[in-house]
Amino acid sequence: MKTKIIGLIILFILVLLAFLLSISIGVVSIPFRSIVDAFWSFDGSREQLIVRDVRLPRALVALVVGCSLAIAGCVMQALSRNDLAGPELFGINYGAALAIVIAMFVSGSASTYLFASSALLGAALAGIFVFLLSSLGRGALTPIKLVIAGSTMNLLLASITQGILILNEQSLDTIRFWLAGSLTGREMETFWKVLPIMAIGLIGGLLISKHLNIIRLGEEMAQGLGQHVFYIKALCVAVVVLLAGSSVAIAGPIGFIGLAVSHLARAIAGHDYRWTIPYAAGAGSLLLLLADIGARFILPEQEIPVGVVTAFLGAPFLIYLAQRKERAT
Amino acid sequence: MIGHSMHTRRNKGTVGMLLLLVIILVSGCSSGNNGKANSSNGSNTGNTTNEASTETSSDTRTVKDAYGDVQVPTNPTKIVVLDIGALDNLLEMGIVPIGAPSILAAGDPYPKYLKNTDGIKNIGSVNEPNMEAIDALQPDLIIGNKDTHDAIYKQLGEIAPTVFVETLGTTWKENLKLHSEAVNKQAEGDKLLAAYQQKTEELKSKIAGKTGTAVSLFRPRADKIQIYMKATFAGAIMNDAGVVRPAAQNNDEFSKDVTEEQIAELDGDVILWFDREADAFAKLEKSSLWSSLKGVQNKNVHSVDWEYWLSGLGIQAATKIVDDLNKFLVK
Repeated sequence: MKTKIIGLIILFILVLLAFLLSISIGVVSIPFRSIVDAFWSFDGSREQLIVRDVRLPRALVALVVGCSLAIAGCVMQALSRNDLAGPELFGINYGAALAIVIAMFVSGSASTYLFASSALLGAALAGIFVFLLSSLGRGALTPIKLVIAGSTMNLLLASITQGILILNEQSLDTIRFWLAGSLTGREMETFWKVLPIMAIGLIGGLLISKHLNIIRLGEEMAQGLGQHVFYIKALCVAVVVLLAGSSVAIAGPIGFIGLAVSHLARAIAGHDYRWTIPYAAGAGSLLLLLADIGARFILPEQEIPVGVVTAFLGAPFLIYLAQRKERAT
Repeated sequence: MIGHSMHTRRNKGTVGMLLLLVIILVSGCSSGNNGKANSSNGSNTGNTTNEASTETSSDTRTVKDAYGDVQVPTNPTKIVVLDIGALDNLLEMGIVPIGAPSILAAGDPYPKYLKNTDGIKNIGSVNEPNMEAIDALQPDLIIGNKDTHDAIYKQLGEIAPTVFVETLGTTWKENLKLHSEAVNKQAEGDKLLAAYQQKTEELKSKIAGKTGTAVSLFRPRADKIQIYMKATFAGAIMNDAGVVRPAAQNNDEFSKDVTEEQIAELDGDVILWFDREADAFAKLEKSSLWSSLKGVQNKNVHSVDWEYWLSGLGIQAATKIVDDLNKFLVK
């Protein structure tokens, strides 16, 4: 107990350091003095504007998106009782992508706000549809039905999205960056708009963490312990949709954070979700902040989308997990 | 079906999951490349190539293109062009091709700066020409470029003699020469180039020694800003006209991608921009950093037409670029 609290405090300090680092270093080098002045004695110079209007929103977005994706991943893995599940397996990413493509096609506009709102709507619709689909029939909402419904929807939505994009090369050009998952050029405005949604998801995630322990034991066991299994599962889905949906709305489909961080959190904090979830939240923010800093320096004088960096880090991890799982069963 | 899968063992479910993940990953990764990959289906290699060479030599000429010598009709009348540079050049030499592609998506109208495009049949897009549409037109000459259309070169050769330039962009003058040879209008081509030369020399002498004329050129995009350096079509023309570029852009490369953080690299006495995406510029203009640029403070920001600054790649586009530069730099 005591060590776990100390661990959380250390994690919090690390996140804070990564956050400061993310504001302090970038493609353009800015003296430390200007960074401090940007907040304490702002004079409108270009360097200070870069810190306040480019780096700060970006670091904030990395912070909340990393945290949200990690919690969504934890909940998703507990819900599906599958260690290889991630929030992206809920049809959420491609639900969002399809909604964006349709919105762009219809309105001809490509503003960040349009992207964010249609992505959120698409993600929510896809998530709810997957939930309803997997609740049908005998043995309501079993893990395997959830995963099958989610993967099928994801593939279906992906192929429709790509079909539309092939017919319309112009939107392909515009949406390509979004599909990679990126944190550059985020605006404070969009951040404030999705923050309430994320906050509800985060609080919800912490509140259901106790029940996740029981859900993870399996349907019969949970029912035997007097849980309203269906309602808890519905709550879990709502949390995943809110968190992953709003993340995808501001940053695009950033992969592997949800998958990898839940494992890291369980390895450090054990299987008690009351601890796993806060640990995952911190580790998710930390990982995404660091990946985003890396994205600025991998190519000289040019940034790459952070989704590419997390994929590079995450792919070997996924293979490792799959192999370990194979041996365990 | 779902009911059946429920009874399979968890182990299998996991393998299935992994497979699905891989499929999703692969499909996710490949989604970025769809624009280009599809045109490379030219596996039909073993067949006969240019049959035109069997025609009698009296009504053909020899032209040397990117692949070597080609026999072309002395006076081709039914020409299909595969890129906008060739369309632009041919129209300027008074020849209306029977088929030409759209820049982005098949069926889009031809660039507005080009006149006399009525009656030209659309043959798809520059990146994905429609072979059936080309074949149906029964052309007697096809003009393309090796860079974009290498994969379908052999197949095109079965339809009609082909004249391919090496690539598009900075090589546009050589391209114009080859195009004029292909359509037997060499004198016309030389005349056009001489006129262009004179135009650029005039501009050069007008701005020589003038200060405050460094021109920044970039394209705001959804997630980045693409600076157009000297090795682009527009960059080469500015170079011909002696237009100075800001230090950050005075570079023999094609382009460089920057983010808002590197906004200083966008600065110039005169700021020119074009975009294909709606809203990309509006977003940049809204940012607080935008007004920290010198060109913005001096109200010397102009949008230019991407159809000829970016995608024209022929003599008419080049001339229009010089006209624009005259407008912005000589006052």
